[in-house]
Amino acid sequence: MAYYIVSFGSSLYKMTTAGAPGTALTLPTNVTLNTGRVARMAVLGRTVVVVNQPLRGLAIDADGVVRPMGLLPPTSAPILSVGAAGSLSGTFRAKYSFAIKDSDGNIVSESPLSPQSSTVTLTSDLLTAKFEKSTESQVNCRRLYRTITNGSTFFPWLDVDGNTITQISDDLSDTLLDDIAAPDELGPPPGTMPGTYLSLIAEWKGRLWGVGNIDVDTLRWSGANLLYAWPTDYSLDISPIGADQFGITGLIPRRDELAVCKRNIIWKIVGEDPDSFEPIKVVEGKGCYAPDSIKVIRDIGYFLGEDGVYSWGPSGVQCISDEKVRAWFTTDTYFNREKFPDAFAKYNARYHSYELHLAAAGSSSIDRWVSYDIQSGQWYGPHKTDAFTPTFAGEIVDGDGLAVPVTLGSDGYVYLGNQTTIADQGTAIALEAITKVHTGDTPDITKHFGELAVINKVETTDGALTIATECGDVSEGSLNPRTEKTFYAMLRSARQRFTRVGPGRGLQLTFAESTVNQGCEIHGYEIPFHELGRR
Amino acid sequence: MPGKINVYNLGSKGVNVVKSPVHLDDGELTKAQNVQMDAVGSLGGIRKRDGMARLNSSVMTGSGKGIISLPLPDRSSYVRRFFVPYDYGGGAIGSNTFWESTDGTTWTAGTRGVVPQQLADYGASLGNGLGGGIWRWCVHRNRFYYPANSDGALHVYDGDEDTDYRLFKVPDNPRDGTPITKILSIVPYSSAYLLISTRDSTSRGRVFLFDVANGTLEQLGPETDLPYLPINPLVFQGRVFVGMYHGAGGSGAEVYYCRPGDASWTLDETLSSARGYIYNMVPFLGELYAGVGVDVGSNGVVMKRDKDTAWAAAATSDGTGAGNHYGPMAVSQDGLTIYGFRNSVSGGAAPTNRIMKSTDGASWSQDYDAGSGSGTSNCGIPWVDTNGDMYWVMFSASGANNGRIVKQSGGSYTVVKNDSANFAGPIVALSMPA
Repeated sequence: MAYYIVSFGSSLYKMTTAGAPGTALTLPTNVTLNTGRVARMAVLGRTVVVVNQPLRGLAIDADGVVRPMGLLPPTSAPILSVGAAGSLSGTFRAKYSFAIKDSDGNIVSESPLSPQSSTVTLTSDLLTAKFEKSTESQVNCRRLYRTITNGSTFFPWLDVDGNTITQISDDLSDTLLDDIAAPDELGPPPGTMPGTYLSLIAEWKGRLWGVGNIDVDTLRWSGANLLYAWPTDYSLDISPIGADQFGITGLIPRRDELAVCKRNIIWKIVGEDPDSFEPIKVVEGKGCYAPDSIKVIRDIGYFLGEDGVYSWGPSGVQCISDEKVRAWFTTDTYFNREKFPDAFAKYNARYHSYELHLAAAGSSSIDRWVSYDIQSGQWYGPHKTDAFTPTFAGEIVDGDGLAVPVTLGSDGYVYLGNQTTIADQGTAIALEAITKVHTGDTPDITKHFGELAVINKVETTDGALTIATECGDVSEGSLNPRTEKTFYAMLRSARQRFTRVGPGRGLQLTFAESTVNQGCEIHGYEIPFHELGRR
Repeated sequence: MPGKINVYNLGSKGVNVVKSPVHLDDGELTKAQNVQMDAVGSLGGIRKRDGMARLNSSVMTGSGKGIISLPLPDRSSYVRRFFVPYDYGGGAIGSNTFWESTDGTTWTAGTRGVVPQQLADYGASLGNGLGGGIWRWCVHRNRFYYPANSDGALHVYDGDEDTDYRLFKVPDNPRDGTPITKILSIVPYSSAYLLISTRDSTSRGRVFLFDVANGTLEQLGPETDLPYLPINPLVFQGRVFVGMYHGAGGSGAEVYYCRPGDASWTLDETLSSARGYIYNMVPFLGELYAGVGVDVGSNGVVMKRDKDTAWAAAATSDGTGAGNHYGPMAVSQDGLTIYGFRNSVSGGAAPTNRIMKSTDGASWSQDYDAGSGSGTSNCGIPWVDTNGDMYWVMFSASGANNGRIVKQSGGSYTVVKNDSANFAGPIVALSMPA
């Protein structure tokens, strides 16, 4: 059964599918969460990586143990000397690293190697090495490497468990050294140094990819299946360098390509390994404004740009909002565009829709969302809830193994979507649908709109569906002046017929229902009319 | 002229705020707040969107800032279950296998798995001699490895599946003509390997490296014929150390080490005469400590191996009788305190049985009075729990009766099981479905 890692306030929790958050996970010493930033997460090798919000990257294993994502290397070389009588002869050099092992003995984090020691010459002696303790509280192993006799390549020598002793003597023979040379993919992730942090993270091709808050134009990646190892040469500068303060604003991992977005340009990374990874420009002039608006759905990436929502797939980058809802994103009528960078999104698998959370015009909270039906290509919304203020959204796998959208609130709760109860935790959902202005294709002719008939799904209770009609002259695309008339429908009937609507050149209807636990499904409506003539 | 507006594709063309409301198609809306198009059973109409419900019953502090789902096994609902071998004291074997407890306080005789290796079955050299029950079994990747009493085969109890599996029987030692090989200790070596030590006869044993995934069994240092019983090996400074437990008195026990791939074991130390029974060894503050039992006329002793590989006594008991011992040893979860069980026989001050502790390895003080009865004269390898609690299983050398299980929590000791229960050997804890 699945579980979730969730961030609330200044704590991380491991939550069950039943919603039990338990106690807050214990963070490593000197690591806190910045409550002003969102937590960005990725999964690699059954371990959750959390960045952006913590003061340093964190790795959370399946048991809920939180460890630093990476470790800084020892600052000084080991000091080698001739030990007591032993079996080694020749010249030797050594390095070592700090490491963290889990309770099963797995290395879950290893720092880069220390500087190389001076050469020591032995004649049937033990090789004695002195080395440092780590200042990291969770380091519980120092891993020593040495060269083979008279050699220059380093091989794993032995693990010194604990973080106490600072000297060992050993004469392990060359033949018993590990056959595999010292790892060359070690390196601290961006954000390991105090005062820095990883701002973006994604998993692609068995590696973690990220961007630090300092070098915002530089894309970094980890070793294969090594969340803690980010060699410094595993990086690409993404042009244009220094063009703005935002740098890379989003990572979109698709099957064979990783998009690297800036605000006005998108590159993609192709290749299979560090030797073949290369950036290819996808589009210029368009980019991603909101890192958390990115969702990859069936190998197509969706994200919020400056002037709308875009998809990136086999057909390239396309705006999916221009045709019908461009005004949502290019005017100040609907949304507070200043808050676009804080937008976040979720995927509703049941309805195959991309749901983008935005701030209403004049609001500083992300208190609205719009939904894009991927199958039909249609937009709906703006939606809202009166139960809480959304602060983040995502998807989880429930106890039945099904993907369900969730919305996190400012009130300390995770809200599960797709509930059959038509209410938001006991708060009514306010439906409001406004139709087109019906003119009978003769907007210049006054008509008398007759009796309105509404066909709807039969509900168990009547509810309070109102149908507000507005009749009037058509002026600048709307009705002005207008006369209003409101009908009250009873949803226990499948068909309802109301009195005559009245005269006007055009007619617009508004359906509204906001009763707690009240379903409301409207299948259609009919209105006869008679043209009265042109004045 | 009459006309009629018929709209039965309401909302099917979504919201359009680009065109004027006059120019929209019938299926288009200018606003669709909390409107949902349901493609399953009601396409063609609009409906109020699905509701939202709180997932967590108890509020968390602050605003939600991120979430990720892991479709991986969740052990949050698991309960930790302690196991102590059920020992029949050499009598008829029944159906009980282990004493079990989910809280460390209430213990019941259970039937999970199979009857584990019995104390008496190890024979005079161990079971009825000094320090019976000091072998160690282990939980590795949430699987409990232990030997069965019936045929000595290695079993594994899977905590996730709540199921027992028989793995294999360690082959007899070809150096020995008497096939009596039994598993003594099972100790984690790494994430993929366990160390298994065996008693092959009263004076011979071996240590194996067991690959838990692939089932291979590799004898460590196969060219060395280890004298007596290699009990409780451990990994220290990248090497496998093991102390010997002699079957007969007189000579001092040996400490050996080797590494996987070594042809032979290297003798690290031979203790002085009469110090013939190494109970177990633990690393403490970067140095290796061994709890040792002795023969008549000597004191039990804690030996310490310092960085220069020299061994020296760090503490002694005050008795001089046969069976005098200082061990097994354990280290607190924070690594700052070392503990040792001490049994003084003949001539020692009361109490005969006690738990000693030290924070520096040099100065030792009594931490628990275990009385002077025979029922608490021996102790299995203690369990250091994830929350810092420690559990000690005490019993008589000859079998089982009148022992006790002692829990140490926050510096205080509580007897959580104290009657004629039959127990012996090590205590372990396994996470299992509730």
